[in-house]
Amino acid sequence: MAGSSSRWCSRVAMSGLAVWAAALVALVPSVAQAHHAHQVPIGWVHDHSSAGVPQRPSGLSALVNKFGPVCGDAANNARSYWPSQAARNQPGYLNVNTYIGRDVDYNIRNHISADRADGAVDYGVYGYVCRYIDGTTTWSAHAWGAAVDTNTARNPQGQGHWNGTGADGIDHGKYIPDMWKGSYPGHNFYWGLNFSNPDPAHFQYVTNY
Amino acid sequence: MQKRWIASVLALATAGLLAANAWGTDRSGAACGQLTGGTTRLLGFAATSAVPAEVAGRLALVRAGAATPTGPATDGVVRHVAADTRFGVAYVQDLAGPDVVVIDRPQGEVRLKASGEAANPSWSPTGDVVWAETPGLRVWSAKTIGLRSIRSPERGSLVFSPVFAGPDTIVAAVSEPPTVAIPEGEYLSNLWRYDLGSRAWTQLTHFGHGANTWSIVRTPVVGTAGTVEFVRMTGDATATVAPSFELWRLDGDHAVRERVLPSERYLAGYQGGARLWNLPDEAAATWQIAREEPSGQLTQIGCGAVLVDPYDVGDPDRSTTLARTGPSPAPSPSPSTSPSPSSSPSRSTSGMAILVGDFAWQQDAQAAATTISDQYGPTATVRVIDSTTSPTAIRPGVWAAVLLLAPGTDLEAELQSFRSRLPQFSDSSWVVAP
Repeated sequence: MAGSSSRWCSRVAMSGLAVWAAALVALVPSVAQAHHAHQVPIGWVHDHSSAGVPQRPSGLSALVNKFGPVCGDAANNARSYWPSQAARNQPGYLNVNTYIGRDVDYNIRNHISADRADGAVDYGVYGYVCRYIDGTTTWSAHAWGAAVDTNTARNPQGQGHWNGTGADGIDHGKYIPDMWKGSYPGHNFYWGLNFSNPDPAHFQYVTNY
Repeated sequence: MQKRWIASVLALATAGLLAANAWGTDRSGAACGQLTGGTTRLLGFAATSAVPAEVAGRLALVRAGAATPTGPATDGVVRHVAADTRFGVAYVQDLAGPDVVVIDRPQGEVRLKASGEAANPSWSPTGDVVWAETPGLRVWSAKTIGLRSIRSPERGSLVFSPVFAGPDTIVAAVSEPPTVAIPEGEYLSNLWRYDLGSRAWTQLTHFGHGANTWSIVRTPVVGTAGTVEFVRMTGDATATVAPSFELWRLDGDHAVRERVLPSERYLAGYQGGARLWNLPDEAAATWQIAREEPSGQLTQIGCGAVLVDPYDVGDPDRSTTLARTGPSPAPSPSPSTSPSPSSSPSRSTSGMAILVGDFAWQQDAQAAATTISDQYGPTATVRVIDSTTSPTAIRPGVWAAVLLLAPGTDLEAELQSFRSRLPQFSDSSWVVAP
């Protein structure tokens, strides 16, 4: 997907001058719009240092140590703007803990934008939520802003596979999970699909919790 | 930003420190929540003041600050321990995948394999046992040694924490099914009654919820007078404020609020007519067990999880693949496949910033930028952004001021410093990657 822009440019360059001119006139607005929609900061590259991909805690004590109190102030202090957040093609903000702010906002959000893959994201996209896991006395990792749900409408809890169809109606395979979870190009989140009761839309920055 | 919550957290932390000093270790020097040597007979608890509970994933008797295991370690994690001095102890052996319900009586041990997740076993007045087995209930008869299934009252809802309010009456919590807007996490639960004779459910409490607010019930227990008591919690899913905890009881078919609880805690049964509580110590990843004296004061018994979910061990259902494949490594950079980097990040900025916004007018964002510049001086980089320059940080049609941060900045510490220097922006400032 990262190469789609250059392939498009090559095709245009091979066209005749007249076709090129006509195409240029017709496409200038959409090119400008596309650039706007997928713009990332100049000079952006992944930050895979310990600041960009910090240590992922294991267990409750380490979770509290890294992320602070449950439902605490830091839990929603980092934000980024996502396509198809609460409803399809209706963008909105995603709030997470500042501990993973650089990983989510700088690495992951910019990576998807740079890949021109906003269409792979489908609603709902949720970060900080001060709630319990159903029927338990266990706080959800979302209550620390340590988890993100994405593409929940097509990936409900209990579904044993990932549905990669994005808001654009195209099947993007495991592009979105690969972006969040471990191993390149992932960003070290743990995937809820691996739970005994699978939760394919859920990615959390803690294990053994 | 949220002074009330911070104050309550500090109060809890202080209480935790005091508690740790007062009874953080037992006579053997073991920390609260750690098992001491040797094993003890489980059913001996009836003759002592010990409380059967989960400690370090195992079943233990907790007394006078010490936790003594009742047998060798087994697979999985012990969860939800129900003890009745007349009949014995029932608990869940939580495994990766389907669980086992264990009923330990003087007549012997009964092990019942569940079809999925099992939780919250509880004894009837005649020695039967009921528990939650997703998504309904199961009842084991001591008389016939037979099993009976009970469906949840509403399609898609989850039934949990059942208790016998009488020989033929079960009271249980029922949570509303997930929605697209709330795909996970509980936003509403109420108590329902099931009549074993008529096989009919009746809703007892009618708590409601708002767009962001939630109301849930936990740990119903049957008191010495046959009254069902439970904890109700309410909170706001989007706010960073402490949820509220209240003690309630059922008076016939009506729920009555007994009192507001000072902090998070859950009922853990009764001992000699006195309430037992489980109080969380998240920093130590353990649960404290305390007895409520007639004066209202709490007396520590030790540490362990009774009716609550263990804190000191991971949930086997959330650790299976991790155990199988090992932890996910941090990704390593691969310049050949990284998306179109044109250069390294600037040496002077990290790509992160503190944003103040959103403003409906550009002039307001510019005024905020000026205020920030005045506070931070000429060396600080402050600018106004909108969605044409920072589409992943701000929505279209609004503006914001951003203070660029240097590489290596502690984002949370810098944000807190910013908010203390410019308190007028406390409620409108975030960390972003503009």
